[in-house]
Amino acid sequence: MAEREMHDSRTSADEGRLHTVRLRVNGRTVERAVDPRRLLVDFLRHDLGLTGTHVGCEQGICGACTVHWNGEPVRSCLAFAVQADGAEITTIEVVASETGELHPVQRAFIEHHALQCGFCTPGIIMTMVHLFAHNPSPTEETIKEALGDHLCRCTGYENILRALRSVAERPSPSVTPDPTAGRGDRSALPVQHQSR
Amino acid sequence: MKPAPFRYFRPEHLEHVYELLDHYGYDAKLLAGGQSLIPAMNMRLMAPSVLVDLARVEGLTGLDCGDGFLEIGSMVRQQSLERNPSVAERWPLLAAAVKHVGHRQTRVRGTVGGSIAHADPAAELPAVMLALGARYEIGSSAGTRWVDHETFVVAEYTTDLAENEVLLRIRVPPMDPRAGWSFLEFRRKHGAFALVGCVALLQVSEGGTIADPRIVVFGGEPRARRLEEAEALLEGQKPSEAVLREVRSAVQEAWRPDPQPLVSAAYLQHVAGVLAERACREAVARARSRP
Repeated sequence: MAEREMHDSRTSADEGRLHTVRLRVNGRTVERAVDPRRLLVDFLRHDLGLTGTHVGCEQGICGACTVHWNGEPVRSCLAFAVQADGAEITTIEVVASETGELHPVQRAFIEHHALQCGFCTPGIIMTMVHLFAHNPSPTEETIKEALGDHLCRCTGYENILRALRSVAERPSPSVTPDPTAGRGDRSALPVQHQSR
Repeated sequence: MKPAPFRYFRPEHLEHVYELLDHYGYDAKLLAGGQSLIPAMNMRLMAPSVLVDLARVEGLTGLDCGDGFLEIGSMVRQQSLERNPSVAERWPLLAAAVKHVGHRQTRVRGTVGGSIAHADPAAELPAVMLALGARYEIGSSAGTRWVDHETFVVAEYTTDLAENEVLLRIRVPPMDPRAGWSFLEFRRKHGAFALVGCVALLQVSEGGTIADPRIVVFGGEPRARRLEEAEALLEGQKPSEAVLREVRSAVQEAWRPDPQPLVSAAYLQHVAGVLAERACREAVARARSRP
Protein backbone atom coordinates (compact mmCIF):
# COMPACT_ATOMS: atom_id res chain seq x y z
CA MET A 1 0.00 0.00 0.00
CA ALA A 2 1.11 3.53 -0.70
CA GLU A 3 0.31 4.97 2.72
CA ARG A 4 2.82 5.25 5.50
CA GLU A 5 1.66 5.26 9.08
CA MET A 6 2.70 7.94 11.48
CA HIS A 7 1.62 7.94 15.08
CA ASP A 8 2.22 10.97 17.18
CA SER A 9 0.19 13.25 19.36
CA ARG A 10 -1.44 14.80 16.28
CA THR A 11 -3.20 11.68 15.00
CA SER A 12 -6.81 12.35 14.06
CA ALA A 13 -9.11 11.04 16.71
CA ASP A 14 -11.21 8.69 14.62
CA GLU A 15 -8.72 7.25 12.16
CA GLY A 16 -5.36 7.40 13.90
CA ARG A 17 -3.48 7.55 10.65
CA LEU A 18 -1.62 10.46 9.10
CA HIS A 19 -0.09 10.39 5.67
CA THR A 20 3.23 11.85 4.66
CA VAL A 21 2.93 14.25 1.77
CA ARG A 22 5.93 15.57 -0.09
CA LEU A 23 5.52 18.31 -2.68
CA ARG A 24 7.01 21.54 -3.94
CA VAL A 25 5.36 24.78 -2.92
CA ASN A 26 6.63 28.03 -4.40
CA GLY A 27 9.86 26.38 -5.38
CA ARG A 28 10.64 24.73 -2.08
CA THR A 29 10.17 21.08 -1.21
CA VAL A 30 8.01 20.51 1.83
CA GLU A 31 7.22 17.31 3.63
CA ARG A 32 4.50 17.04 6.24
CA ALA A 33 2.35 14.48 7.98
CA VAL A 34 -1.28 15.32 7.30
CA ASP A 35 -4.72 14.09 8.10
CA PRO A 36 -6.08 12.90 4.75
CA ARG A 37 -9.11 15.14 5.14
CA ARG A 38 -6.91 18.24 5.23
CA LEU A 39 -7.85 20.27 2.15
CA LEU A 40 -5.00 21.61 0.07
CA VAL A 41 -6.15 25.20 0.70
CA ASP A 42 -6.06 24.63 4.46
CA PHE A 43 -2.69 22.90 4.19
CA LEU A 44 -1.28 25.95 2.42
CA ARG A 45 -2.82 28.37 4.88
CA HIS A 46 -2.39 26.57 8.20
CA ASP A 47 0.40 24.06 7.77
CA LEU A 48 2.56 26.32 5.60
CA GLY A 49 1.47 29.75 6.74
CA LEU A 50 0.73 30.89 3.17
CA THR A 51 -2.45 32.81 3.86
CA GLY A 52 -2.71 34.64 0.55
CA THR A 53 -4.91 31.86 -0.82
CA HIS A 54 -8.44 32.26 0.53
CA VAL A 55 -11.30 29.95 1.40
CA GLY A 56 -14.63 31.14 0.02
CA CYS A 57 -17.26 28.57 -0.86
CA GLU A 58 -15.49 25.19 -0.49
CA GLN A 59 -17.47 24.09 -3.52
CA GLY A 60 -15.22 25.25 -6.34
CA ILE A 61 -17.52 28.02 -7.50
CA CYS A 62 -16.10 31.26 -6.12
CA GLY A 63 -12.47 30.86 -7.20
CA ALA A 64 -10.90 32.50 -4.13
CA CYS A 65 -8.82 29.37 -3.52
CA THR A 66 -7.29 29.20 -7.00
CA VAL A 67 -3.61 28.17 -7.13
CA HIS A 68 -1.42 26.63 -9.80
CA TRP A 69 -0.91 22.86 -9.72
CA ASN A 70 1.80 21.71 -12.12
CA GLY A 71 1.34 25.01 -13.93
CA GLU A 72 -2.45 24.86 -14.28
CA PRO A 73 -5.03 26.85 -12.29
CA VAL A 74 -7.02 24.63 -9.93
CA ARG A 75 -9.38 24.99 -6.97
CA SER A 76 -7.34 24.18 -3.90
CA CYS A 77 -10.56 23.72 -1.87
CA LEU A 78 -11.37 20.72 -4.06
CA ALA A 79 -8.24 18.72 -3.38
CA PHE A 80 -6.91 17.00 -0.31
CA ALA A 81 -3.31 17.80 0.56
CA VAL A 82 -2.50 14.09 0.26
CA GLN A 83 -3.50 14.21 -3.40
CA ALA A 84 -0.85 16.88 -4.01
CA ASP A 85 1.97 14.49 -3.16
CA GLY A 86 4.60 14.99 -5.86
CA ALA A 87 2.96 18.11 -7.28
CA GLU A 88 4.38 21.55 -7.93
CA ILE A 89 2.12 24.16 -6.33
CA THR A 90 2.43 27.89 -6.90
CA THR A 91 0.51 30.44 -4.86
CA ILE A 92 -0.15 34.18 -4.96
CA GLU A 93 2.86 34.77 -2.75
CA VAL A 94 5.26 34.32 -5.67
CA VAL A 95 3.41 36.31 -8.34
CA ALA A 96 5.35 39.47 -7.57
CA SER A 97 9.03 39.11 -8.29
CA GLU A 98 11.63 38.29 -5.71
CA THR A 99 12.55 41.95 -5.53
CA GLY A 100 8.94 42.94 -4.95
CA GLU A 101 8.24 44.09 -8.49
CA LEU A 102 4.55 43.59 -9.15
CA HIS A 103 3.28 41.45 -11.98
CA PRO A 104 1.59 43.55 -14.71
CA VAL A 105 -1.78 42.12 -13.64
CA GLN A 106 -1.17 43.21 -10.04
CA ARG A 107 -0.05 46.68 -11.14
CA ALA A 108 -3.13 47.03 -13.32
CA PHE A 109 -5.39 46.01 -10.41
CA ILE A 110 -3.96 48.84 -8.34
CA GLU A 111 -4.06 51.40 -11.17
CA HIS A 112 -7.69 50.60 -11.98
CA HIS A 113 -8.97 50.11 -8.41
CA ALA A 114 -9.89 46.54 -9.23
CA LEU A 115 -10.09 45.39 -5.64
CA GLN A 116 -11.91 46.58 -2.52
CA CYS A 117 -11.89 44.00 0.26
CA GLY A 118 -9.41 41.93 -1.73
CA PHE A 119 -10.83 38.56 -0.73
CA CYS A 120 -11.40 37.34 -4.29
CA THR A 121 -8.32 39.04 -5.67
CA PRO A 122 -5.57 36.43 -5.25
CA GLY A 123 -7.71 33.80 -6.96
CA ILE A 124 -8.45 36.07 -9.91
CA ILE A 125 -4.82 37.02 -10.21
CA MET A 126 -3.71 33.39 -10.29
CA THR A 127 -6.15 32.67 -13.11
CA MET A 128 -5.20 35.80 -15.05
CA VAL A 129 -1.46 35.38 -14.64
CA HIS A 130 -1.90 31.98 -16.24
CA LEU A 131 -4.15 33.39 -18.98
CA PHE A 132 -1.72 36.15 -19.96
CA ALA A 133 1.27 33.83 -19.82
CA HIS A 134 -0.34 31.67 -22.50
CA ASN A 135 -2.29 34.35 -24.35
CA PRO A 136 -0.70 37.81 -24.03
CA SER A 137 -3.46 39.56 -26.00
CA PRO A 138 -6.74 37.82 -25.20
CA THR A 139 -10.02 39.07 -26.63
CA GLU A 140 -12.66 40.72 -24.49
CA GLU A 141 -14.70 37.53 -24.68
CA THR A 142 -11.80 35.38 -23.51
CA ILE A 143 -11.13 37.70 -20.59
CA LYS A 144 -14.80 37.70 -19.57
CA GLU A 145 -14.99 33.94 -19.85
CA ALA A 146 -11.95 33.59 -17.59
CA LEU A 147 -13.33 36.13 -15.12
CA GLY A 148 -16.59 34.18 -15.11
CA ASP A 149 -14.76 31.51 -13.14
CA HIS A 150 -14.53 33.91 -10.17
CA LEU A 151 -17.00 35.69 -7.91
CA CYS A 152 -16.46 39.19 -6.55
CA ARG A 153 -18.94 40.72 -4.14
CA CYS A 154 -17.43 44.18 -3.96
CA THR A 155 -16.47 45.64 -7.28
CA GLY A 156 -19.18 44.75 -9.76
CA TYR A 157 -16.35 43.48 -12.02
CA GLU A 158 -16.08 46.62 -14.20
CA ASN A 159 -12.79 47.82 -12.75
CA ILE A 160 -11.42 44.29 -12.86
CA LEU A 161 -12.25 44.18 -16.58
CA ARG A 162 -10.64 47.59 -17.09
CA ALA A 163 -7.50 46.33 -15.38
CA LEU A 164 -7.39 43.17 -17.46
CA ARG A 165 -8.09 45.04 -20.69
CA SER A 166 -5.18 47.33 -19.95
CA VAL A 167 -2.89 44.31 -19.59
CA ALA A 168 -4.22 42.81 -22.84
CA GLU A 169 -3.63 46.08 -24.65
CA ARG A 170 -0.02 46.33 -23.52
CA PRO A 171 1.28 42.78 -24.01
CA SER A 172 4.48 42.35 -22.07
CA PRO A 173 6.88 39.44 -22.50
CA SER A 174 4.96 36.60 -20.91
CA VAL A 175 5.49 36.76 -17.22
CA THR A 176 4.86 33.63 -15.27
CA PRO A 177 5.47 33.32 -11.57
CA ASP A 178 8.91 31.82 -11.23
CA PRO A 179 8.70 29.73 -8.12
CA THR A 180 12.14 28.30 -8.65
CA ALA A 181 13.92 31.64 -8.29
CA GLY A 182 15.76 31.70 -4.98
CA ARG A 183 13.83 34.07 -2.86
CA GLY A 184 15.30 36.20 -0.13
CA ASP A 185 11.75 37.28 0.68
CA ARG A 186 10.77 34.57 3.13
CA SER A 187 7.08 35.54 3.20
CA ALA A 188 6.61 33.69 -0.09
CA LEU A 189 7.98 30.45 1.20
CA PRO A 190 6.28 27.82 3.29
CA VAL A 191 6.81 28.30 6.99
CA GLN A 192 9.40 25.86 8.27
CA HIS A 193 8.11 24.28 11.44
CA GLN A 194 10.53 23.19 14.07
CA SER A 195 11.36 19.55 13.53
CA ARG A 196 10.18 17.27 16.29
CA MET B 1 -17.42 22.98 6.92
CA LYS B 2 -14.67 20.42 6.59
CA PRO B 3 -14.94 16.79 5.56
CA ALA B 4 -15.55 14.11 8.16
CA PRO B 5 -12.58 11.84 8.92
CA PHE B 6 -11.80 8.97 6.58
CA ARG B 7 -9.13 6.39 5.79
CA TYR B 8 -7.26 7.12 2.60
CA PHE B 9 -5.76 4.63 0.18
CA ARG B 10 -3.87 5.38 -3.01
CA PRO B 11 -3.36 2.04 -4.77
CA GLU B 12 -1.31 1.69 -7.91
CA HIS B 13 -2.97 -1.38 -9.38
CA LEU B 14 -6.56 -2.28 -10.16
CA GLU B 15 -6.24 -5.56 -8.27
CA HIS B 16 -5.61 -3.59 -5.11
CA VAL B 17 -8.57 -1.31 -5.82
CA TYR B 18 -10.81 -4.36 -6.16
CA GLU B 19 -9.46 -5.81 -2.90
CA LEU B 20 -10.25 -2.58 -1.09
CA LEU B 21 -13.76 -2.35 -2.55
CA ASP B 22 -14.47 -5.99 -1.77
CA HIS B 23 -13.26 -5.46 1.79
CA TYR B 24 -14.91 -2.12 2.59
CA GLY B 25 -17.99 -2.38 0.36
CA TYR B 26 -20.43 0.44 0.83
CA ASP B 27 -18.15 2.26 3.28
CA ALA B 28 -15.65 3.00 0.51
CA LYS B 29 -15.96 5.68 -2.14
CA LEU B 30 -13.77 5.99 -5.18
CA LEU B 31 -11.93 9.30 -5.54
CA ALA B 32 -11.42 10.30 -9.17
CA GLY B 33 -10.95 14.03 -9.83
CA GLY B 34 -12.82 14.96 -6.69
CA GLN B 35 -14.54 17.94 -8.27
CA SER B 36 -17.98 16.56 -7.41
CA LEU B 37 -17.10 14.32 -4.47
CA ILE B 38 -15.03 16.82 -2.48
CA PRO B 39 -17.62 19.64 -2.52
CA ALA B 40 -20.15 17.06 -1.27
CA MET B 41 -17.73 16.00 1.45
CA ASN B 42 -16.94 19.62 2.33
CA MET B 43 -20.67 20.19 2.91
CA ARG B 44 -20.93 16.79 4.63
CA LEU B 45 -23.60 15.75 2.16
CA MET B 46 -21.37 12.70 1.89
CA ALA B 47 -19.12 11.26 4.55
CA PRO B 48 -17.51 8.07 3.29
CA SER B 49 -15.30 6.44 5.90
CA VAL B 50 -12.87 5.18 3.25
CA LEU B 51 -11.58 6.91 0.13
CA VAL B 52 -9.82 4.96 -2.59
CA ASP B 53 -7.87 7.41 -4.74
CA LEU B 54 -7.61 6.23 -8.36
CA ALA B 55 -5.04 8.87 -9.38
CA ARG B 56 -2.07 6.49 -9.47
CA VAL B 57 -3.82 3.35 -10.70
CA GLU B 58 -2.15 2.02 -13.81
CA GLY B 59 -4.18 1.74 -16.97
CA LEU B 60 -6.95 4.28 -16.50
CA THR B 61 -5.54 7.32 -18.28
CA GLY B 62 -5.35 6.21 -21.92
CA LEU B 63 -6.88 8.37 -24.65
CA ASP B 64 -6.75 6.57 -27.95
CA CYS B 65 -8.60 6.37 -31.26
CA GLY B 66 -6.48 3.83 -33.13
CA ASP B 67 -9.34 1.61 -34.29
CA GLY B 68 -11.71 4.43 -35.19
CA PHE B 69 -13.45 4.30 -31.83
CA LEU B 70 -12.51 6.82 -29.14
CA GLU B 71 -11.37 5.00 -26.02
CA ILE B 72 -11.21 7.19 -22.96
CA GLY B 73 -9.73 5.86 -19.73
CA SER B 74 -12.02 6.74 -16.84
CA MET B 75 -9.32 8.84 -15.16
CA VAL B 76 -8.58 10.98 -18.23
CA ARG B 77 -8.86 14.58 -17.06
CA GLN B 78 -11.59 16.64 -18.73
CA GLN B 79 -8.95 19.16 -19.80
CA SER B 80 -7.04 16.43 -21.65
CA LEU B 81 -10.14 15.60 -23.63
CA GLU B 82 -10.74 19.30 -24.27
CA ARG B 83 -7.24 19.81 -25.64
CA ASN B 84 -6.90 16.65 -27.68
CA PRO B 85 -6.68 17.48 -31.41
CA SER B 86 -8.11 14.12 -32.54
CA VAL B 87 -11.17 14.63 -30.36
CA ALA B 88 -11.64 18.17 -31.68
CA GLU B 89 -11.41 16.97 -35.26
CA ARG B 90 -13.31 13.68 -35.14
CA TRP B 91 -15.70 14.07 -32.19
CA PRO B 92 -16.45 17.81 -32.32
CA LEU B 93 -19.70 17.33 -30.40
CA LEU B 94 -17.75 15.93 -27.46
CA ALA B 95 -15.10 18.65 -27.71
CA ALA B 96 -17.83 21.32 -27.66
CA ALA B 97 -19.65 19.74 -24.71
CA VAL B 98 -16.61 19.32 -22.46
CA LYS B 99 -15.93 23.08 -22.59
CA HIS B 100 -19.22 23.54 -20.72
CA VAL B 101 -18.30 21.23 -17.85
CA GLY B 102 -17.78 23.16 -14.62
CA HIS B 103 -15.05 25.74 -14.69
CA ARG B 104 -11.71 25.74 -16.40
CA GLN B 105 -10.11 25.16 -13.01
CA THR B 106 -12.28 22.13 -12.26
CA ARG B 107 -11.61 20.60 -15.68
CA VAL B 108 -7.89 20.43 -14.85
CA ARG B 109 -8.64 17.92 -12.09
CA GLY B 110 -12.08 16.53 -12.97
CA THR B 111 -12.20 13.30 -14.94
CA VAL B 112 -14.35 12.04 -17.80
CA GLY B 113 -15.23 8.82 -15.98
CA GLY B 114 -15.86 10.59 -12.71
CA SER B 115 -18.39 12.94 -14.30
CA ILE B 116 -20.26 10.07 -15.95
CA ALA B 117 -20.19 7.85 -12.86
CA HIS B 118 -21.41 10.76 -10.71
CA ALA B 119 -24.46 10.89 -13.01
CA ASP B 120 -25.62 14.39 -12.17
CA PRO B 121 -28.85 14.87 -14.16
CA ALA B 122 -27.61 18.26 -15.37
CA ALA B 123 -24.19 17.02 -16.44
CA GLU B 124 -23.01 17.48 -20.00
CA LEU B 125 -20.88 14.39 -20.57
CA PRO B 126 -23.57 11.78 -19.83
CA ALA B 127 -25.93 13.55 -22.26
CA VAL B 128 -23.36 13.60 -25.05
CA MET B 129 -22.33 10.00 -24.42
CA LEU B 130 -25.99 9.00 -24.74
CA ALA B 131 -26.27 10.81 -28.07
CA LEU B 132 -23.04 9.27 -29.36
CA GLY B 133 -23.93 5.72 -28.30
CA ALA B 134 -21.00 5.25 -25.93
CA ARG B 135 -20.38 2.01 -24.08
CA TYR B 136 -18.68 1.56 -20.73
CA GLU B 137 -16.28 -1.07 -19.43
CA ILE B 138 -16.77 -1.91 -15.78
CA GLY B 139 -14.36 -3.95 -13.68
CA SER B 140 -14.32 -5.78 -10.36
CA SER B 141 -12.63 -8.75 -8.77
CA ALA B 142 -15.20 -10.85 -10.67
CA GLY B 143 -14.02 -9.63 -14.07
CA THR B 144 -15.12 -7.01 -16.57
CA ARG B 145 -18.34 -6.25 -18.42
CA TRP B 146 -19.57 -3.73 -20.98
CA VAL B 147 -22.85 -1.81 -20.83
CA ASP B 148 -24.50 0.88 -22.91
CA HIS B 149 -25.28 4.33 -21.56
CA GLU B 150 -28.94 3.78 -20.80
CA THR B 151 -28.04 0.72 -18.74
CA PHE B 152 -25.20 2.53 -17.00
CA VAL B 153 -26.90 5.76 -15.95
CA VAL B 154 -30.05 4.73 -14.12
CA ALA B 155 -31.30 7.90 -12.40
CA GLU B 156 -29.99 10.98 -10.62
CA TYR B 157 -26.61 10.20 -9.04
CA THR B 158 -27.31 6.51 -9.61
CA THR B 159 -25.47 4.16 -11.93
CA ASP B 160 -25.41 0.47 -12.60
CA LEU B 161 -22.12 0.13 -10.68
CA ALA B 162 -22.20 -2.35 -7.83
CA GLU B 163 -20.42 -1.22 -4.67
CA ASN B 164 -17.31 -3.19 -5.61
CA GLU B 165 -17.14 -2.08 -9.26
CA VAL B 166 -15.05 0.53 -11.06
CA LEU B 167 -15.73 2.31 -14.35
CA LEU B 168 -12.58 1.54 -16.36
CA ARG B 169 -13.09 3.17 -19.73
CA ILE B 170 -15.51 4.68 -22.18
CA ARG B 171 -15.70 3.61 -25.82
CA VAL B 172 -17.27 6.09 -28.23
CA PRO B 173 -18.23 5.07 -31.77
CA PRO B 174 -16.83 7.16 -34.60
CA MET B 175 -18.83 10.24 -35.54
CA ASP B 176 -19.75 10.38 -39.21
CA PRO B 177 -17.74 13.29 -40.62
CA ARG B 178 -20.84 14.39 -42.52
CA ALA B 179 -23.02 14.36 -39.41
CA GLY B 180 -24.62 17.53 -38.17
CA TRP B 181 -24.41 18.22 -34.47
CA SER B 182 -25.21 20.86 -31.89
CA PHE B 183 -24.69 21.30 -28.18
CA LEU B 184 -26.69 24.01 -26.41
CA GLU B 185 -26.99 24.70 -22.72
CA PHE B 186 -29.06 27.23 -20.80
CA ARG B 187 -27.82 28.28 -17.37
CA ARG B 188 -27.76 31.27 -15.06
CA LYS B 189 -24.14 32.09 -15.58
CA HIS B 190 -20.87 30.82 -16.96
CA GLY B 191 -19.80 27.71 -15.13
CA ALA B 192 -23.13 27.09 -13.44
CA PHE B 193 -25.06 23.85 -13.71
CA ALA B 194 -27.27 23.52 -16.76
CA LEU B 195 -30.90 24.36 -16.11
CA VAL B 196 -31.66 22.65 -19.40
CA GLY B 197 -29.50 21.47 -22.26
CA CYS B 198 -29.97 19.85 -25.63
CA VAL B 199 -27.75 17.69 -27.80
CA ALA B 200 -28.64 17.14 -31.46
CA LEU B 201 -26.93 14.68 -33.75
CA LEU B 202 -28.26 13.81 -37.19
CA GLN B 203 -27.51 13.06 -40.80
CA VAL B 204 -28.88 14.90 -43.81
CA SER B 205 -29.32 12.64 -46.86
CA GLU B 206 -28.54 13.51 -50.49
CA GLY B 207 -32.22 14.31 -50.95
CA GLY B 208 -32.14 16.75 -48.07
CA THR B 209 -34.05 14.61 -45.57
CA ILE B 210 -32.98 13.89 -42.03
CA ALA B 211 -31.72 10.46 -41.06
CA ASP B 212 -30.83 8.93 -37.70
CA PRO B 213 -31.79 11.95 -35.59
CA ARG B 214 -30.75 11.86 -31.94
CA ILE B 215 -32.21 14.55 -29.71
CA VAL B 216 -31.09 14.39 -26.09
CA VAL B 217 -32.42 16.75 -23.45
CA PHE B 218 -30.80 16.99 -20.04
CA GLY B 219 -31.30 19.00 -16.85
CA GLY B 220 -34.34 18.61 -14.68
CA GLU B 221 -35.29 15.01 -15.32
CA PRO B 222 -33.56 12.21 -13.38
CA ARG B 223 -31.29 11.47 -16.32
CA ALA B 224 -30.58 12.71 -19.81
CA ARG B 225 -32.77 11.00 -22.35
CA ARG B 226 -33.48 10.84 -26.02
CA LEU B 227 -36.77 12.50 -26.95
CA GLU B 228 -38.15 9.86 -29.30
CA GLU B 229 -41.23 11.95 -30.00
CA ALA B 230 -39.01 14.67 -31.47
CA GLU B 231 -36.81 12.19 -33.32
CA ALA B 232 -39.84 10.59 -34.99
CA LEU B 233 -40.91 14.00 -36.29
CA LEU B 234 -37.50 14.50 -37.91
CA GLU B 235 -36.79 11.07 -39.38
CA GLY B 236 -37.17 11.11 -43.17
CA GLN B 237 -38.41 14.70 -43.19
CA LYS B 238 -36.96 17.81 -44.75
CA PRO B 239 -35.96 20.17 -41.92
CA SER B 240 -38.48 22.89 -42.73
CA GLU B 241 -39.40 25.60 -40.27
CA ALA B 242 -42.73 23.83 -39.75
CA VAL B 243 -40.99 20.59 -38.80
CA LEU B 244 -38.64 22.40 -36.43
CA ARG B 245 -41.61 24.10 -34.76
CA GLU B 246 -43.20 20.70 -34.30
CA VAL B 247 -39.98 19.48 -32.69
CA ARG B 248 -40.14 22.40 -30.29
CA SER B 249 -43.73 21.58 -29.31
CA ALA B 250 -43.01 17.88 -28.99
CA VAL B 251 -40.09 18.48 -26.64
CA GLN B 252 -42.07 20.98 -24.59
CA GLU B 253 -44.79 18.41 -24.21
CA ALA B 254 -42.68 15.32 -23.61
CA TRP B 255 -39.96 16.61 -21.33
CA ARG B 256 -41.03 16.73 -17.70
CA PRO B 257 -38.45 18.48 -15.50
CA ASP B 258 -38.65 19.11 -11.81
CA PRO B 259 -38.85 22.83 -11.04
CA GLN B 260 -35.65 24.51 -9.84
CA PRO B 261 -35.45 27.14 -7.12
CA LEU B 262 -37.09 30.25 -8.62
CA VAL B 263 -37.54 28.51 -12.00
CA SER B 264 -40.84 26.84 -12.84
CA ALA B 265 -41.12 23.54 -14.68
CA ALA B 266 -43.23 25.25 -17.35
CA TYR B 267 -40.44 27.74 -18.05
CA LEU B 268 -37.86 24.95 -18.24
CA GLN B 269 -40.10 23.03 -20.64
CA HIS B 270 -40.45 26.12 -22.80
CA VAL B 271 -36.69 26.64 -22.89
CA ALA B 272 -36.12 22.94 -23.64
CA GLY B 273 -38.33 23.22 -26.69
CA VAL B 274 -36.59 26.36 -27.89
CA LEU B 275 -33.17 24.75 -27.42
CA ALA B 276 -34.25 21.63 -29.28
CA GLU B 277 -35.46 23.70 -32.21
CA ARG B 278 -32.26 25.74 -32.28
CA ALA B 279 -30.08 22.66 -31.88
CA CYS B 280 -31.77 20.94 -34.82
CA ARG B 281 -31.39 24.02 -36.97
CA GLU B 282 -27.74 24.28 -36.06
CA ALA B 283 -27.12 20.58 -36.63
CA VAL B 284 -28.73 20.74 -40.06
CA ALA B 285 -26.60 23.76 -40.95
CA ARG B 286 -23.47 21.90 -39.87
CA ALA B 287 -24.44 18.81 -41.86
CA ARG B 288 -24.97 20.90 -44.97
CA SER B 289 -21.69 22.70 -44.59
CA ARG B 290 -19.67 19.49 -44.49
CA PRO B 291 -17.84 18.65 -47.77
